[in-house]
Amino acid sequence: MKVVGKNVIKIDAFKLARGEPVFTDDFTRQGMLYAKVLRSPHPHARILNVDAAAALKLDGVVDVIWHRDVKAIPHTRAGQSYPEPSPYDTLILSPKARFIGDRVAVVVAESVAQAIAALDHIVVDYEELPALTDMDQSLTNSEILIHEEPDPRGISEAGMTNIAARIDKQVGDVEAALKECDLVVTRDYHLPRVQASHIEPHISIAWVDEDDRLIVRTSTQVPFHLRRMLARILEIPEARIRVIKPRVGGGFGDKQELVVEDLVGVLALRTGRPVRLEFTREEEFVAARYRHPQRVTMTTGVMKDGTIVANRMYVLADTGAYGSHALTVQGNTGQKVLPMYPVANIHFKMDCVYTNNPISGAFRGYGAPQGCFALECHMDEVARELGMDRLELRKKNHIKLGDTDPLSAKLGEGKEGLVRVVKSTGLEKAIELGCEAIGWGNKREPSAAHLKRGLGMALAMQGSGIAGVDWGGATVKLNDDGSVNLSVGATDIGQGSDTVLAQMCAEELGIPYEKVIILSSDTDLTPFDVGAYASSTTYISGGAVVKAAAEVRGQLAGVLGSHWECEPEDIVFSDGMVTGPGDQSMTIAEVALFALYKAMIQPMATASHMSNDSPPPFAAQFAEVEVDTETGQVHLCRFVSAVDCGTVIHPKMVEGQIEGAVAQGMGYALFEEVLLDRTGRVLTPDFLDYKIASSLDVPEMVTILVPTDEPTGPYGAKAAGEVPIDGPAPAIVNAICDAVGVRMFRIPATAERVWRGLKEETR
Amino acid sequence: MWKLQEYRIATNPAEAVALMRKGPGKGAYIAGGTDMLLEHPACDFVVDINRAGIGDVARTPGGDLFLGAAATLQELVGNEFVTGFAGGAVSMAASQCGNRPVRSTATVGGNLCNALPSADMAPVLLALDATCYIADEDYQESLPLTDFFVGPRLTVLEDRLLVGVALPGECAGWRCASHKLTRTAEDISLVQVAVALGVDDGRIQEARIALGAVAPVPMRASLAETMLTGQEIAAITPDVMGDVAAIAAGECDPLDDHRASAEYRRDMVSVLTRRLVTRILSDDGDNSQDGAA
Repeated sequence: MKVVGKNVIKIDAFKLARGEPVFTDDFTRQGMLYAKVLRSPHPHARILNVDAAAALKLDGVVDVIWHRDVKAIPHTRAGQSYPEPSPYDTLILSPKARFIGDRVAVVVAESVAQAIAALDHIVVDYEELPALTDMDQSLTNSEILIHEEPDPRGISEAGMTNIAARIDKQVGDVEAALKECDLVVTRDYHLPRVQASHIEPHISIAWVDEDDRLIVRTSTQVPFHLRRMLARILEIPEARIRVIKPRVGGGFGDKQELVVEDLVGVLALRTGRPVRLEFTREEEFVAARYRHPQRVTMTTGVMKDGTIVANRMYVLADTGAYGSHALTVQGNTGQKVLPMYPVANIHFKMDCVYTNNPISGAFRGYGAPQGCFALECHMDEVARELGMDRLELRKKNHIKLGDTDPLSAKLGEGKEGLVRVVKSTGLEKAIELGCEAIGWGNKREPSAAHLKRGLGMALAMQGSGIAGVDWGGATVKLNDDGSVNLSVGATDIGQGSDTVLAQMCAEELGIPYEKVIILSSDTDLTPFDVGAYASSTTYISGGAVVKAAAEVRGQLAGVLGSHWECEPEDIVFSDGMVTGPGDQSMTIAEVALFALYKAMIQPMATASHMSNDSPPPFAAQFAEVEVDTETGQVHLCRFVSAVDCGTVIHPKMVEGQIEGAVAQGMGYALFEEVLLDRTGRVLTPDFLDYKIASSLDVPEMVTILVPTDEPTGPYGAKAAGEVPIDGPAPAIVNAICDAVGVRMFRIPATAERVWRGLKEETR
Repeated sequence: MWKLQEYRIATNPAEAVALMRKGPGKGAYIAGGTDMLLEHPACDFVVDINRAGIGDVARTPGGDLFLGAAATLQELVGNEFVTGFAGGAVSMAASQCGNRPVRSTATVGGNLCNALPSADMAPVLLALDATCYIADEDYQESLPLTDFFVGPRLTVLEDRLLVGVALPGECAGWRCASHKLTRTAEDISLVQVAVALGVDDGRIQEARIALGAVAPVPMRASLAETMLTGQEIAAITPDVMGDVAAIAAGECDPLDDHRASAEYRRDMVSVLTRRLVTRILSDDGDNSQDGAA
């Protein structure tokens, strides 16, 4: 292949490096207003009245809205395909505040400073209600109901309990199987609330244009879902809405959600003026979305020889005040994770409860990091109890080529799923290469007496898009000079999808990569795509690009076949040249001129792609740590990721994604945690106390790509975006246990927690 | 939004104090501004002291090391007078503050005048017997750094200006090391300990143990110091070391908060004190490396 698999220059690299005005905020409109949200100081309260008279008298204040000013149309802000699997439990502005930080009113003013100043002059009459901030209490308490709406759609037990979603699925018979096992091991694992911490905050600018259409320029992962959702809740036709996604400074799932767009939409329509709303970093921590905190109970039944017979996973999760992704994230915790060991008896059960805490939602990995942490720590625990080598236990039981994912048919995206059979896997090879790179079995000596070294590993699998749900479109159009316009709905949020899609287009047409001009994610100008989530873009949107480009190539071959009097199939497209079976030859530019001016056709095609398969990418990840036995501090010395993502389209960018996932996963393991007080107030709303890894913290990272050829993927590609974030936390925590014999059942494994573990060990 | 009305620039310390007192309203001194730009303290004007001639680092004729209040922390990292003083311990402590861009702007005076219990430069300067020089409009006075901190975010200054700190020449040959315990590489300290020992003739003649982030103000562990003073190095067994560390831990008064528990902080004072004393006594004065890692 000429372009696929090459480290071409990232298609937006130059403009980003030059600091061109390409992000949502690098833009202004005449007369633009600035919005600020007044947030609830109470975890649970009815909003009886909002008196904005004093605020409206202030200089520059244009409008203040609260729940009386907007129609109550229940919806979900999750940003998923229609029909949406998340509960319709949300209003643009609600008569009830359900967490500290929930929307109460919104101010628009001529400047940000004026909008901020106005917040203090809005008088709100609250009726405080008792609150629930502990997920165990939410599970059992039905006296306090966080959602008691009369007609909620999709809340599991609306009006009766605080359960937002539940799943209880079984293959085989776990209870019976456990009775026959030589050993049964049960443990609880505790996962923290963490934030994606993308550099660019949530930001949107909306205005009504000269055709009376609402234009929304926004930092989003889902422009097309957003258009559909906005049309419904703003009650204007989709035809009157255009969503434009400029460059995006990171999303990680947090921008799959509709977090600010509805407010700028409402306010632009009300005021007739452009309105901008940008979150502060504090708002990102209070009012954006978190990875769901969970408690996972794992039970494994195993025979003496290490054969796993049964696995049971119970998940209790905190969705916070609203049920964004409550069903599907928690579904993934089992569905994406348990198939790693495809045993005959699997039971997956989950309860996801409402609390009066800030909202959980989509975050890279989408439930799998939680499940993978529990399962892969549990494998070490099972191995220890069995007295078996932890690598051997995994090798004996992990999923292999041709195996059927036992859960896939039972558990899809919030409903029954499609059967998944492993058609490509590099997992064995990844384990082998990873072990070699980390020096498995050869623990190095610690560098001082109070330090101990340990090695840990974890296996992970994910999916490539949502089978039977995710799809995207692409249009390819050839220009006079042999360049092509590629337009895709697919959403580049910094991960580089524009680049890999352009690579595939160039490869398929046999033209240089530089000849591809890409336009992505503008609901007026590009075909549909579900957006950037679920590790879908390379695999799904790439499929559409390959189909569209192949069709254009077919059109050209048809024209040239008549002209050259040969079979179209015998015409070869390569390196910018088109050659026939004889000595016929033209450059792609000559072909384009011929097609446009002699044959008088516009070589152009639009194609759609959907897959009923979601082939799993695999990762084997390894950590080497040094633990200070007196302070509890963990130094991550080295981290090895061996990843099978099918055919690698752009090696450098895949390595970048994997290294980024290791940095994020390292934070999950060691220091990232949003702390709340008992009322659900965020204690760590900034980077002073919410610690993320910097370049000084990340270890030496070894990234090994283990290519396979996935028969259902474009050029054999699978996904890479999420799978590498699953393994770091369990690998690191398993390494800590290997070093000092202390099992951290709760992450992050902060120095103090490890120190406590060490003290209990010696007691 | 920082509602600042006026930005005043002083060309010498006395003028700075005069500009501060001129009013109207409330003023604040600004040098690097790394904290102020984040916190936007309530003030109507600021007095910039970057051009007040107090940014120098120098050895005085008497051998003291003078650190001007407006000297950046990065200057302390690389300055040869500083790297050559007490084994470079002050440079080492400065290098653990924030990150390079922050250190290139933040000043030693700002770090001290902010008076956080966790001020990164305080322990090592306390351990090296620093004296503060304070300017008023018509006079200057000096006092020991131990008397400078009054409470969290509170110093003796009121509206006067810290001109700099001086470390006595006698300390130049002391063995000194400090350690800052943090959650990640760029973090405020959970616990900080600095130890300085004046060793002569196989005996500890002078001992200083200073603690940060474990009391309302940066402090000295004087009981532990007394226990070490006069000891023959050969007689300092691991048991003695353990006792010294335990006494230092008993002297601090740490807070329980979301960053760490008081119990953990207290135990870390003990661990770090023991490690630093051990480390200082076991090497020959080269403390360019971190003392406790």
